[in-house]
Amino acid sequence: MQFMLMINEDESAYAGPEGAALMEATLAGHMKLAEDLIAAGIPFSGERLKPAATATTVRSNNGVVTLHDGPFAETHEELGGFYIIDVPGLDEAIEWAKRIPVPKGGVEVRPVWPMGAEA
Amino acid sequence: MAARPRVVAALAAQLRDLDAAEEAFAEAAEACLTLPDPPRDFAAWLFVAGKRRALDAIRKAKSAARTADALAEISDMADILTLPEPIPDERLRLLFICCHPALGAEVRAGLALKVICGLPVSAIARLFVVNEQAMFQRLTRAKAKVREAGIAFELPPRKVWPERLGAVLLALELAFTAAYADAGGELSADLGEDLGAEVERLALLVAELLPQEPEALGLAALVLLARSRAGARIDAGGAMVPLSQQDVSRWDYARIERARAMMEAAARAGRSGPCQVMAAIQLTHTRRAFDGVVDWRAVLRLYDVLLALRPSPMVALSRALALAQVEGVEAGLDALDSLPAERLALARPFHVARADLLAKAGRGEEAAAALDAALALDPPRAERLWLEARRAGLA
Repeated sequence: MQFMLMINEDESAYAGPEGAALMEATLAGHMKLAEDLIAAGIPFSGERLKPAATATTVRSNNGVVTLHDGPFAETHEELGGFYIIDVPGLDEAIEWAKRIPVPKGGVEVRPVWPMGAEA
Repeated sequence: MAARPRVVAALAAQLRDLDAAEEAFAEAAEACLTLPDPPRDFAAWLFVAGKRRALDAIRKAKSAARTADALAEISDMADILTLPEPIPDERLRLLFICCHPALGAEVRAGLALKVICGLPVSAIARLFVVNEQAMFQRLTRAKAKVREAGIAFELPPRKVWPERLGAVLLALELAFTAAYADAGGELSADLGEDLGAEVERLALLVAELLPQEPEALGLAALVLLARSRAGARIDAGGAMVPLSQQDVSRWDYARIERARAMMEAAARAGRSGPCQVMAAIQLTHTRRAFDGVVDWRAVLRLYDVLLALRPSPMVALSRALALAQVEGVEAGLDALDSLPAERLALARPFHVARADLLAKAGRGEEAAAALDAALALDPPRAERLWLEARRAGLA
């Protein structure tokens, strides 16, 4: 069963010289996590995203499309990256989510809709 | 129907869908009523009939990937047609699924009460002091999440039991509260089964599986102590008999002894908790059978501890009654007056406690008004008869 692990974190934690060191440590954590996923034989993919300030949101309302400068939701914590992992169930997905390095923020765990399945 | 928890749990374990299990059971129970002769083994018949109905429904719907899974789980018609089939006992597994930490803490206990104990949504809503519609929506969402979010239908590995235990114990405690408030057995009559017996069975099962968890032992002891008084709680006229007036010769001393032994085992773990304290309060009351009196100072101290562990107006209310016994009626009334009256306006025990202390203080008219307020809150029959008798005594 596939799960998407969406990393929502406070980008400001990475600002400044101390923030740069934190980012370095966090990235090292991600590298380690990827190695662990490989070692555990878990099929996965994932990407890091550029800051929310780079986001453009295409909004649709009954066929009227407008562009919005900024992320979909204005919050203190922004979607900063994601993993998609294939594990037996939610418990395993949560275990992996707990291992994602997030200095300040949260990881949303959502099952991926299986291709070919009906509503 | 007494078979319900076992049958629904077994169906849910096979169908991996709480809603489908409940529906299948309801349909099977309905079909059961139309049989010319009652089946020899109700539970087996309901399980097989429910499974068959669910299988038909899945075939008809032919929907989604989970069809394939569900079909793989359910072996073919041959075994369905062979009666009687042993029903696997999946209640504990279902209890842990309902208490999965991925479900909101506010819904876990409710879900367990609905799915395992078969409590009606209206009764669950009353327990949680929310309206029925809100509770219905919460439960519907929770069942959908269990079905779609990948929550495993396996009994979780032993190492995660302790972290899920809190939710399991809370669910059982609330079920016990519902069962205990139902002194006259009205809710059990509606459900067609003895809710108290089911809660006791589950509490003992959890305690047996987790003997190193003192709170699991504490809850089982609490339930046993409450159940030990079942024979003394209702008088010949059907009215409730309050604890202090119960005939101690009608208590069940086998249960009391078992509870005491469990509490000793719990105490050896050296980690106290609310369930153990509540059990200790009940055990202190039970000592009346041996000492002839209640050690209210000990009860008061225990309520102080409980209030620190789990602050709530209801605990403060019980403490005020103990305080009245130790320091006098006026101290008790003062303590009651300091409680948030508007929050407790709909709580019968608040008005009953006030009536009790006001009557003792010689303020009969106010006591009568408090009893009227309690009676206006739709008490179950046994409690109503008791309150009416007290009301008549004041007039």
